[in-house]
Amino acid sequence: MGLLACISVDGLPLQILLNANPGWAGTPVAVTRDEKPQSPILALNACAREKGLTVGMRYANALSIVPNLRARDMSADRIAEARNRIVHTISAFTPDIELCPFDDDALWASADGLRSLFGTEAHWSREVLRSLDAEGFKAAVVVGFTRFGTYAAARSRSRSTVFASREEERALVGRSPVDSLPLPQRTKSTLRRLEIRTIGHFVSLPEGEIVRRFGKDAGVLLKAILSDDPLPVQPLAIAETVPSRRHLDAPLTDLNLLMPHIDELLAVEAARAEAARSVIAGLTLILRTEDGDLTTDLIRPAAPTLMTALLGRLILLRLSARQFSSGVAEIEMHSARSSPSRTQGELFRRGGDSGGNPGRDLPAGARAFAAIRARFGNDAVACAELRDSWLPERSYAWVPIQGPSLPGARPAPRPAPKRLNAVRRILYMPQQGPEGMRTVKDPFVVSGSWWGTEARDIPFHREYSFHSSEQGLFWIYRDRLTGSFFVQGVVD
Amino acid sequence: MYVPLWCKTNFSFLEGASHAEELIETADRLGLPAVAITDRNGVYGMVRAFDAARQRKVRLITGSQVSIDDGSSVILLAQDRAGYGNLCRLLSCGHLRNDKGTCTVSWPEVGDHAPGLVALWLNDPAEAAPRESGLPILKEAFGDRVYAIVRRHRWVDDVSRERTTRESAGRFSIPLVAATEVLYHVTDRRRLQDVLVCIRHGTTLREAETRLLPNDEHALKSSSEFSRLYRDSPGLVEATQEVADRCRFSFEELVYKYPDEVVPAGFTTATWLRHITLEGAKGRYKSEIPAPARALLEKELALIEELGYCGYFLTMWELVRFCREKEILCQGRGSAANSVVCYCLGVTSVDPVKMDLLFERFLSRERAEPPDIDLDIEHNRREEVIQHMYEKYGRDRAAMVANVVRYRKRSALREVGKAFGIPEIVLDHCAKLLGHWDGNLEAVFREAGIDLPAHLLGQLAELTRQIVGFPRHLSIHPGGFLLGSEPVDTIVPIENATMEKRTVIQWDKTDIETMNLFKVDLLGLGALTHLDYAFRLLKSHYATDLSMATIPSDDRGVYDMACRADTVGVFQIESRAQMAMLPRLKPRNYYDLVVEISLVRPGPITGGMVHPYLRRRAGQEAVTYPHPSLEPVLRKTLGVPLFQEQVMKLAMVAADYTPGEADQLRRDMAAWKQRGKMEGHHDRLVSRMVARGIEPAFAEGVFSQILGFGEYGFPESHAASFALIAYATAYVRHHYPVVFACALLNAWPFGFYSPATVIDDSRRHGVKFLPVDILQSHWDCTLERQHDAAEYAVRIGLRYVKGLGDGDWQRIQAWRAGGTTSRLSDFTSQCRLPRDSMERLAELGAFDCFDKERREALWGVLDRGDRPANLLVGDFDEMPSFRPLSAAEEITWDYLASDQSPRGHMMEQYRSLLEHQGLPDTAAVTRMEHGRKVSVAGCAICRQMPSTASGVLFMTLEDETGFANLVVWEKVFKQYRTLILTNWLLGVTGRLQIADGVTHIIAESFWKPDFAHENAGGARASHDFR
Repeated sequence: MGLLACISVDGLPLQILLNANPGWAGTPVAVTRDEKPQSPILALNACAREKGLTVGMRYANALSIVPNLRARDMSADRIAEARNRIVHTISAFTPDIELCPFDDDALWASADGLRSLFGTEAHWSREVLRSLDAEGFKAAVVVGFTRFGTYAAARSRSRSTVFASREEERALVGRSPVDSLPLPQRTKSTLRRLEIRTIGHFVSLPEGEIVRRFGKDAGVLLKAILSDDPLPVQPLAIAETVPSRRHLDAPLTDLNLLMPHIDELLAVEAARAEAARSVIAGLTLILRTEDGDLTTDLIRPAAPTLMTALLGRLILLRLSARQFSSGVAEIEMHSARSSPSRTQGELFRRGGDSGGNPGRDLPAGARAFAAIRARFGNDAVACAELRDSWLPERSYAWVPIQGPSLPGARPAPRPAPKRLNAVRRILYMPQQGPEGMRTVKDPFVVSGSWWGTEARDIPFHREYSFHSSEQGLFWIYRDRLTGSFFVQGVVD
Repeated sequence: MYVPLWCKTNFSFLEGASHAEELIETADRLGLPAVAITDRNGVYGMVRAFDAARQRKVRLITGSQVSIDDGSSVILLAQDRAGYGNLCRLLSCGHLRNDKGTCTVSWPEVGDHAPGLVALWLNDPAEAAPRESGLPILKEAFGDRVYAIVRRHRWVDDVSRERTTRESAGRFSIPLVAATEVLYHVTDRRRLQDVLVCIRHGTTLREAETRLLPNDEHALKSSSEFSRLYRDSPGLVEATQEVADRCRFSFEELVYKYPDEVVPAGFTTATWLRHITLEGAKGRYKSEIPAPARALLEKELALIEELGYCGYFLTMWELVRFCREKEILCQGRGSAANSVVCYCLGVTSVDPVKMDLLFERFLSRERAEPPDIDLDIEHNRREEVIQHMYEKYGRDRAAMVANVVRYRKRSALREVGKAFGIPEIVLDHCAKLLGHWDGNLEAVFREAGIDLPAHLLGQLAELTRQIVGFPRHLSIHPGGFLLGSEPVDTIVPIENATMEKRTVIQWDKTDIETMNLFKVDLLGLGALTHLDYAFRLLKSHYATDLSMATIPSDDRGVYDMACRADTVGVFQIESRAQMAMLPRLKPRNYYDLVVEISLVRPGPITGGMVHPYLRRRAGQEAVTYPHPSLEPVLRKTLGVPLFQEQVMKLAMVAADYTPGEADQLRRDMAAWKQRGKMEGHHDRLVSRMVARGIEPAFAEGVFSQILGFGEYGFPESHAASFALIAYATAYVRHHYPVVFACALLNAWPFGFYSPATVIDDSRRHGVKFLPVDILQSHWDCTLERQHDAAEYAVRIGLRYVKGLGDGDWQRIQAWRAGGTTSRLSDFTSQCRLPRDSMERLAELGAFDCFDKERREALWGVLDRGDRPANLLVGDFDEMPSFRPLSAAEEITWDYLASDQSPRGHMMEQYRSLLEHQGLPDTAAVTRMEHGRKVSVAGCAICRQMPSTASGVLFMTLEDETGFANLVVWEKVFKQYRTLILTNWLLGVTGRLQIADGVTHIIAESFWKPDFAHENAGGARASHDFR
């Protein structure tokens, strides 16, 4: 195998937290496991450590020692998003990236054949570091010969190292502390107590003894450390997020002239997806006019596909309703991809029932939904879902749906709240009073949201009642907060 | 006029949003003639409601909303005493069949308990239940005492529900009555009620949706509002009065009878009590009962009989007798020590005649309260006594008293903040910033970074304040028992506690006192366990039969030891503060110990009594009395009032108070700031004192002293009881330090210091300790005589190995029973302890007996894998070589595995380094002169910031030679706060202050010793901020 590099972004959750809160620089900061006072601390910045806090301490305990400690938990989504950015950044410097299976904050990249572009491995690694810095990530980059060697060095080094020879790499690994090994903390603690402090000492122990005491994983690690590591970097399939873009020399307002350009970009996207062994689940189409206006459209096919004709048709449907104030000068297209999968439902849903009735053509239905969405907007297809609220207008919501589904596949409806749903009250016929006039019972009252934090939490106090008139039976409420009357609905 | 028949207080936990007092006060203000309190499944708040109602002349109707097993519920109101009893029994039935916090009964059970009750049917069927479930049974069982509630909460389904209610009521010929569910006394409390719902459901206000009630129509309404609500059906409003008139039960009718003890034939409870008391007196006084004692006995016995308390004293006697038979150490504490009857019965151990105590502090005619005797029991065996109570009286006649856990400011903030959706981490930060409750919560929120608009911060603050004091849930009083001659569950419902085999009533001790019920308190005391273990060890190892009664009194050596403040582990006088007082007070006799125990309390310190007393004791100030007549009262405390009993006597002597009046004065003193009752006493006391010839200025001075006393008065009897135990533990410590240490380690956890400090201190007194040994150690520490040693050593028990549990000890015992071995490999393969336990034992050197150094042993026990048959575990062909631990490392490893080391003190290993740096040990510091600047390093074993100290931190550093006590002023603490709080190995530089034989270092700076980082793992336990 040729050269490879290990890139290690130590303490990623902490880095994400500090990047999101630049004002916290220089103050004690911690990442906790949960958003709870008794949550253990997972990471600390230097300032917090200097004040005597340690990883593993309970947040509440740490706070009693350092009252100005700032702490947050870190969601897996945010960490994943950051990792994707890191991979994307590095992908500009190497064709092959392999994730480290035992350390989420490290990866390997092929460093072979980069001299032609960067001159030296050292320059290459500095450029990688600079790019990661620009993204807000502090990392270490070590170029060497073996996965484990470069990994151990990256965990124990601060920024950038290039090994000149395997012997140099081996020697450094041997001197590296066992703390840099991807072993459970408990194992590391035991090794420290046994005065097995360096990796060199660790690998000098008989493998059988290691396995019996520290488990098979430790044995595998031992082998990995000792091996020559012949396999090249196993490349990661990186989602290609570089958009397809086309600048038009002459801005266009005619859709017929615009579509061929769009079709060509579609072809590029489809090719990329196919090369990545994936299919297109959605498209983002950005059109920039010569006046600088931007329109962004999300196009979602009925099912992930590589059929450019289908995708093109959906785009045409969407754009056909649009009037461009000035000519389109630039087209940008991104595709969201997914793995191709057999829609097994298709195998069964066409089957029909035993009575000979044809089954529902769900794919056709999905395509029809897609066409409607393309024509009228992504929220054009929706169904009503009951919601839990005292306010009539909040007791249901229109929820966009992707496509038709079999009755059995629909999730069981939420049980209606015990209090009668106000929506149904529209159909309620109150008692008639004398002389045909409404017996107006005391109105029923709904009030709440006194805490009113956001637009949807505006305080309300309504007194509902029914009133008949020549036009019909009206469902009316008086807003006590404003004193005004409103019509909630008409009884059908 | 109407009567609200469906009201919930905040004792409908997390449902009702007003105190009972608030509801009653509002009802009074609205001119309502009566109120029915109907908390869910209980009468938790009924005593408070009763107390509030009788003060305001609002008639209280007692009831409860009872949950039915089909998911519905029914309201039951007590018509009469029998009905109330039935309600309590029904609720007990529903609670006892379920886990704590749940109550369900069946409709037939409701019917069975119908006599004396009025039922209000709610038409609130659960989803699975038929709509009219329960109605047939209600009609049959209650006859004309059942009504159907027509509720109008202005909910959307009111009309339909009312229609069905009327239909059903018509079908069963049940009259209707109007009622709204009252959940708060004023509309504004609706917000708090919403918050309570969120807390109950663990959700936020935004996400709660229909779990919150739809509107704010659940406040107590005025008559006009209520009438307007039911203007189309005025008969329903009138029916509320009809129902109220039928429910005439009052808590005044609750006549409680204490259980009669079984007495021998020919005796009544009174004569039996007299008999055993006099028998006991003979035992106490040996020969002739002294005349003062006899006079007091007669007086007490007469009063006890007059007040009907004989049974109570017999119960206490029986309990103590049970404890003696089972060889369980026990002793009465508190005001009971004022009673010579208790002394003669063996309940208490202090002779009140000799101590000149005041019986009326315990019992008086005017007090109109039953006696309250607290019995301290060895904490390890208290459960035996509790189960004995249950067995003797039965679960229906003995139940433990509840303890209402209420929201305090931090918990209030956390719960209300969670309802607002504020992250817990931020709330915790906020809670820590609360500090002193100065009311400015908004500022605290801002500092904590709570990101809410200003109006919401205001709401958050307001609701937090409102919820403080609200009951959260019920737990058990530490040891209070309610006993009844009739089943207790006809007085108050009984329910299951969380702890197995425990049942608890729905009232707490305040309610018990309000209702004049008898409570027996059984409290666990670690010091008694310590003494018990010590006495047993003395008997088994030293052939010495010692007991509390036979310990020689007035041992000079014991008091010498106390004067030196050499009192680690001695009950009541071991704390840092006590050790600072002992050399100043210099106790030389038992009564000095009584004073010593009483003096180091927040009260005397803030009351300004400590220094005058000490100065007079040291002869630095003349002993004077406010008036000659007061000399007998204050003589034993050198003219300085220290005890509640003295103030009582003062009032009796100087102002002709009767004993009962004096006891009322004592109680009013304690509460004078809240209730302002002292003004009445002022006029009376001063005028009477003047009438007796006391100068007005003197009289005013005496009254000022009494007023100030209210802050701190301490019962002398309580201190006297504790002083006996303190002396006993001091005696054992002085004469049998090995036994003292072993017994203390086995009785732990209790006391002020960690086991490590106890061991180190004992070692300084010549006690030898042997480390944990897998072949020799028992679970508890034991005494072992090694080779031909003259004295026993203490073998550390396996209980001190971190993570080792009782199950592990069983396995070790079983392995030992099969014959021991000299090979580690045999042990690891035969006694399959969990890996963690094996590692800890190896790290502790418990396998030294297998001739394996610790690292080798650790390597050995880690091996859990399969081997070829010819290769034995522990017999290593490929054994790596390990460096043996140094002596210092051994100590560090001991701490890592067991938080203590029998091998030496942590600081020993650094002594030569410290000497090289010119730093003395703590023993040397105590020999230096006052004012000298000194630097010393040690392990922080105590950090205290008493509330009386105005921000001053008191610390103790320990090394192998002793302690250094530090005083850290607020400014220094702030500067070195993190260092102080995060490091257990610390250095301090400051000036020596030596006064009255007490040495302190006034800290100027703190530093981290150079070697501190090497011991990052071996931290010492510290007594911190308690």
